Formats: sequence, structure tokens, C-alpha cells
Amino acid sequence: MMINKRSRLRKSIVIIGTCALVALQIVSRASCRAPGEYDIKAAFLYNFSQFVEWPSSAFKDANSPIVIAVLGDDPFGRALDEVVQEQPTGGRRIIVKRFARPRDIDHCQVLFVSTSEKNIEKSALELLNGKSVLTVGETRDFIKHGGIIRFTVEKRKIGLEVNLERARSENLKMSSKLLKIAKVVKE
Amino acid sequence: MEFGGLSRKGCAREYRSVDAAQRTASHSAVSRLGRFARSWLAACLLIITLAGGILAADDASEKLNLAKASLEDLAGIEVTSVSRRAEELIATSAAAYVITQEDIRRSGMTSVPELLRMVPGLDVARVNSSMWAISSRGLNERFAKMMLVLIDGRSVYTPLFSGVFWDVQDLPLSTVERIEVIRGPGATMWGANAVNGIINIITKNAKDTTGSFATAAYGTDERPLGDVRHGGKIGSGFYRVYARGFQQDNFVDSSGDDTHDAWRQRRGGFRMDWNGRDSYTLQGDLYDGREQEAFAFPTLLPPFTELRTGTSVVSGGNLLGRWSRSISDDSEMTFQAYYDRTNRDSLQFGEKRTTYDLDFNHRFASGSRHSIIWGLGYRNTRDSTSSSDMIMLDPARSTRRTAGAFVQDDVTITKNRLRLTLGSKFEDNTHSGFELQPNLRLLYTPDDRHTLWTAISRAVRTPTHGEHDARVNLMAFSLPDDTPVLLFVRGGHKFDSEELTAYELGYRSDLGTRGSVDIAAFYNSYNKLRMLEAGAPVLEFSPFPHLEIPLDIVNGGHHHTHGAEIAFNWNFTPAWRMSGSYTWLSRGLAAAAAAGADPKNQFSIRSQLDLPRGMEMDVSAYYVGRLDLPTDAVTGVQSGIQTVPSYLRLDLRLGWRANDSVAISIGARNILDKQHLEFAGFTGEQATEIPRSFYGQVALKF
Repeated sequence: MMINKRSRLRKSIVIIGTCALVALQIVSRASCRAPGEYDIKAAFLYNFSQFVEWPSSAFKDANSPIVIAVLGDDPFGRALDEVVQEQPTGGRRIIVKRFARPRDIDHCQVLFVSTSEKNIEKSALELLNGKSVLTVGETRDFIKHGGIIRFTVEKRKIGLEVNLERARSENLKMSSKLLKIAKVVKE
Repeated sequence: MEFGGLSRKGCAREYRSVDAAQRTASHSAVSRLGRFARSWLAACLLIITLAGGILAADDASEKLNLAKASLEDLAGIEVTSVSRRAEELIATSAAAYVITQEDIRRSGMTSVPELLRMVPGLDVARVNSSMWAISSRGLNERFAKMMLVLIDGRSVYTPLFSGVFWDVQDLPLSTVERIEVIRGPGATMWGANAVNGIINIITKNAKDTTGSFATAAYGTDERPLGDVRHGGKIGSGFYRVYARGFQQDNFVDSSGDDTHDAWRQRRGGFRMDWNGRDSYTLQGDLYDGREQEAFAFPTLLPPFTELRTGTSVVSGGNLLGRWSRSISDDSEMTFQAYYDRTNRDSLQFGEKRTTYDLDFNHRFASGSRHSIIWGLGYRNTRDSTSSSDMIMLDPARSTRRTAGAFVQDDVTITKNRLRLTLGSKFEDNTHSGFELQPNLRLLYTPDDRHTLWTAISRAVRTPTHGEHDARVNLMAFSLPDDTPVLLFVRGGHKFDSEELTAYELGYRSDLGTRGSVDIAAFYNSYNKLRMLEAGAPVLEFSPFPHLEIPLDIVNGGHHHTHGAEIAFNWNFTPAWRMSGSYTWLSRGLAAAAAAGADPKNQFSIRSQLDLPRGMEMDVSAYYVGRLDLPTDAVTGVQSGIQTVPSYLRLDLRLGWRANDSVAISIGARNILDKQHLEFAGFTGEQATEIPRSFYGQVALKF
């Protein structure tokens, strides 16, 4: 019985070992990294800058860049910086800024409100009234608190909820391509 | 968000191999099948791995550029990992935990009971290869009587000896949507036997399992294991079919030799869903399996115990239909009916059980402050048992009918701040009569990040067929004058429900993307717990003169337990997430009356790390404290082992998601010690030791 068990164990190790070797070999050849939740959300933020039209009053001048900002704890790591390295051809440049507190919020076009700001989310969003800032968040009550786009995660896929009325009152024009994949909701 | 659980939404051949020849035959058949399957599986694994490599190489050549991806593409990408957030649970006034699909995928576990190890506050002990003892908040044993388990709303708690036969609840993990575990009573919603907790296993809607998916695992325990699932559209709805088969190796005894507990099982099933304002679900499963078994039987001659081995045959099937209509956002009604059949033929006893169950519930809002849910249920379960010379049931058949109603009101006292939940279950059953099971819960959320809750509830555990009608020969010994004595447990119809009043307090904090903390404390006061009371000895003359001492099952024990559970999730970075828990349980002084064995301290820590190139590295460690087996103060009856030492278990998993269709993982379980014991046998079961194990797994989507 004992010997039988040992030899079976040895056989198993050989099989698993072979598989591991083959797997490792393949890994060393492949170079893609499966995207994480915030890699995709970062790409969405970048896309928003391309599919939303701001009034000219939202910028200092014709050359000023589109600012994508993060308020509170940054969940993106390097993902957001990496995604804006791919600058759009023509049009405005895109830069990334980070603000720790609502009172630090400076001139920006897209503002991602981190869930770390949950408690003060509502008052932070009120500060931005009439400033044509596309606010993006992911807390349950983000739209209710006056936000414009909310990320949802359903069945491992990222979805969008858009408060169109709010976007209109901030003079933001959303492309139909963006609205096609989003779910329009009310406050 | 809706927390699904809390918001409540045979082909076996009949034989018993007792003689050695038959046993050998069955054993060699098992191992022949194993060898055949092993060589084939190894070949398949290699081919799949190679194919995966080719696919991966293709994928690599067109490197994914997220910045250039279209909006449609972005919306279609499945994310590899979703950080766990407490948000889903923040508004729940109970100690709850949810196992997500990501947790399942990264656990390295291949069966439902093993998966439950990660749940804070749950004690999962593997008695041997095919038996588990699983309970929260104490009184754990193989027939953990205080824990209710549901699969898609179908109860798998057995009214023969109470508890759950975990060996036959082995769904393919790729069809599981989530597992919700609630510690503490849930009898108001779920009825009797939801005393110390509820485990709700919820499978995926067929809409989410279109296409084909296969998993193959091979290791020192799984020899081998395979799951296949296929789904698609059918008219305006969706369907899926699945098949699962595995063979599980035997464990080892204390000296490292093989024990007699290898087993195999196959299972198949389907689910159809039509989703809409009216949603319909029809689902069913069929399974059968063979399990090598060993039990100690008491005998009247020295050494007074005899180890018998054999093969259990298990089989069963079920069919469930559900209709739900959503009337508005706040209003919904559901009607569900199921039929369930289980057969088990083991050396100790045989059981054939048929259950019919009807359930209706309706949730609606009344004004802006009240959300009311009420429901009606009826269950008829009947069994037909066969006895052995250790466990005898007379009468062999029993039918139990349970009719119940419940109503619960969720009252918003201050909007988004204070909520009161008040409700009760009213149940009548043929074994213990009318049962009232109310609860009162208060939830305070000063802001979106913090939750404070408290609850008082009552729950009962109803008597089983066994407790009313069984005779169990427990042990034999001899008096100094060599007269043999047999101790036996005698059931009686006077035995009534066991009762619990539970006081709970909890705090939850959501730290946003960084993590969350969940703390719960409880005080459980049990009444009328099952006890054994020695009766007058009787002189029996067959087969030769000996004394028999009956131990009557009576309600007597008062007992209390208290404890606390702390669980946390911490996201160091989006790619490195850690979670852990600590569970403390203290049993009162009157432990003699209480069944089971529980560790005083338990902790776990799990780390999930996403590496570049779709690689993943996951580490889990579990510590379970020493078990002191209860010694009955009246009789001095003890099982063979008095303590089970504490153990520290370390699991490691390396995974690689080659692309959307291929994922490979390898891992090791119990790295730290060669083998360890997790539980002990109470009524003749042979506890065996869990050896260190290795495995490889391939998951394929096509």
C-alpha cells in the first residue's frame, strides 16, 4: 500500500511538473498582460476625453490641454499615466493631475472621484456646479449625489451609467457612441 | 444593492460489499478506472497546454492597446480581478460573507465544502476523504445540526440525523455564481434549523453561461477531476447543461498508510432561464457515486470493537422550477417548487428520501418607510431507512410535513440612517408542533462608510427521525467479572426542538478602494439541548448474557457560547489584495451537554497577487486551534481520540490566464506538514489524516 502510494505520488509529480514546464515556456513567449479593472477604467477616462465635447469656456485658451484628474486615493496606479502616453493625433493634449482633497481641485475637464471620498462626495460635487467638469465615480449613490458618469461592474465587465440631464446642464455634449454603450439614468 | 440571500429572493446498483472478495473487486475496479483516466488525462493536459501556447502566441502578436480600444471593446472586456468592496454588504444587519467567482477561481479548491474554508467564522473540518463537519458559531460535528444549507433555494439539510451530507453537494464550481454565508440565526426567513448559520449556494443564470467551458484537474487528491459546461439560447431563453466527474484519492492514517476512503462521483444537470418582467427558471441535477468507507462497530466480545469496511452507494436527483414577477422596483413575487430524491446505502444505515417543497414570497413597499416581505411554504419529506447492527430505526419509515408562514417589515426610521427590521416565522411540523421564530434587527449607518447593527433572534432545531426512532449501539466494554456491557443511544418521541436565543452586535467599515473591516460579536443562549441520560440497565440473554445500558435522548442542556469574528480586506495596490479573519469562540461551562467539537481560535490570511503577463500568485494560510472532544459527564463515553491538535495549513497557487480562453494553474495544499488530522469520529466514523497535495488545473473556454 505504502509503495503504491509513493509511486503514484511520483507519477503525479512528473505529470504536474511536465505541465508546469510547458506552461512556463509558453509564459516566457507571451507578452500580453491581462487588463485589470482599473486598467480598463483608465482607458475609459481617456476615451471620455475624446467622446465628450466641452464648451470653449471650459478651457483657458485654444492650446490648453484636457486635464484628467483624480480626487482622493488613486486606484489606478500607473495605468492612467500609461494610457495618456498615447496622445490623440490633433486636438488638445491630455494630462493627468491628482488632487488629495476637494479644496485642492484646480482647473480640470474630467474628474474621477475615488471611493475614498465617499463621505464628502456630495459636497465635493456641489463645488463643481456650473464648471463644465465631467465627473466620474463609482459609489452606489454617485449619480444621486450629482455625478455625471458612474462606473458599474457587472459580470466582470465594466459598464457606465450616465446622468444626461446633468451633463446637459453643464454644457457637455456626449457623443452618440458613448451613449450607445451607457445606461441613461436620472438622479 | 440587493443582497440576494438576506432579501430572500438514481441509477445506483444496490449492493453492499461486506465480504472481502467483493471489496477487493470493487477496489481494483476503482483503481483500474483511475489508471485509465490518469493516462488519458495526462495526455489531454499536455495537448491542451500546447494548444494554449499556440493561442497565447497569436494573442501576443497583437498586443492589447487599451488606449486605442474602442468604447464597445472596453465595455466587452472581462476584467481579471475585481476588488472586493464592502459596499454590497454595508446595509446588511447580519454577519454575512460572500464568496465571489473571483474567490472561487483563485482558491485552488475543487469542491464546495473545501471552498468554504475561506469564510470568516466558519469551521470547516474534513473528517476523512468524503466527510466534512462544517458549522459556524460552534457545536460542529459531522451531522452539524445547527447549520442550514440551501442550493438555489433547495434545502440539502437532512432530517434523518440532521446536518448535511457534503459529499453529494459537489456542484461544478464553474456554475456557481456566489456563495452567501450568514453566521447566526436566520430562521425568520428560512425556517427551522437555520440556528447557527445559513449557507446559500447560488448558481449562475443560464444567460451568463453561454458557450462552452471545461475544467480538468489532476493531482495527488484529484485523480482526476473534470467539469464540462455548455450553454446557449433556446427560444427567448437560455439553457445550460453540465457534467462533472471525479475520483478522489484516499487519505492516510497516523502512520502514513493508505486508508479506506477513496471515492468517486459523477453528476450532470441543466438549467434553463427566461429572463424578463416574468422570469422562469427550470433546473435539475442527477448524480451517483461510490465511496469506500470504514466504521467501527461495537461488539460484545473483546476487543469490543470491530472495524468494518465497505462501499457506500449514493445517488440522487432533483428538479426545481421558479417563477418570479417583478412588479416594480420595490415589489416582487416568487413562487418555487421542487422535488428532491436522495439515496444512501452505507454500512451504518440506508436512507431513501423523497421531498416535495412549495414556497411563495412577496415583497412590496408600503408608503416610503416600510418594505414588507411575507411568504408561505410547505414541505413534505418522507424516508425509508434500512438498519445495520449498529444503527436501527423503528419504524423504518417516517413522513414529516412542515407548513409555515413568515412576515417581516423593514422600517426606515430615519432615511439612510436608521432602519429597524421586525419579523417572525410561524411554523408547524409533524415532529415538534408549532414553532415561533421571531427576530428584531436594528441597522445604523451614520454615513456611507460605517454600519453598526444589532439583533436579537430566536431559532429552533427540530427533532429528526433518528432522534425519535433510532437505536444506536455506541460502545461495549466488560465489567470486572467479565460481563459484557453494551451502551446504546435510544431515541424517543418526547424529544422536542432545541432552542436558541441569540444576541448579536456588528460593525462594518468600508474603506473605499483600500478595503473593508467587518466585526461581529455574539452571545448564544441555548435551551433544551440534546442530552443523553442513562436509563436502568437491562439483562439481555441473546446471543449470550450481557448488560445493556440505554442512553435516552432527552432535552436537558442549557448551554451558552459567545465569541467574535473579525474579517478584513486590504488592497495594497489594485494588483495586490489581502484578506484575513480571526474567529474566537468560547463555549460555556456546561459543555458536557453540548455536542460537537470547536476550535477556540481560528485565523486565516489570503493574498491575491496579479503579476505581469496574466500571471497570478495566491497564498492562503489557515490556523485552526485544538479540538477538545466532549466527554459526556453522565456516561463517561468518549471517542477514541480526545484531542485533535491545532494545525496550520498553507496553500499556494500559481495561475496564468494565457488569454480569454485558456487559464492554467498549479498549486500545492498543506505545504507545511506531511499530513494532519482535522476532526474525529463520533459514532464509529474513522477520521483520517489529510496529506500534503499537489495539483494542476486547466480551464478552457471555447
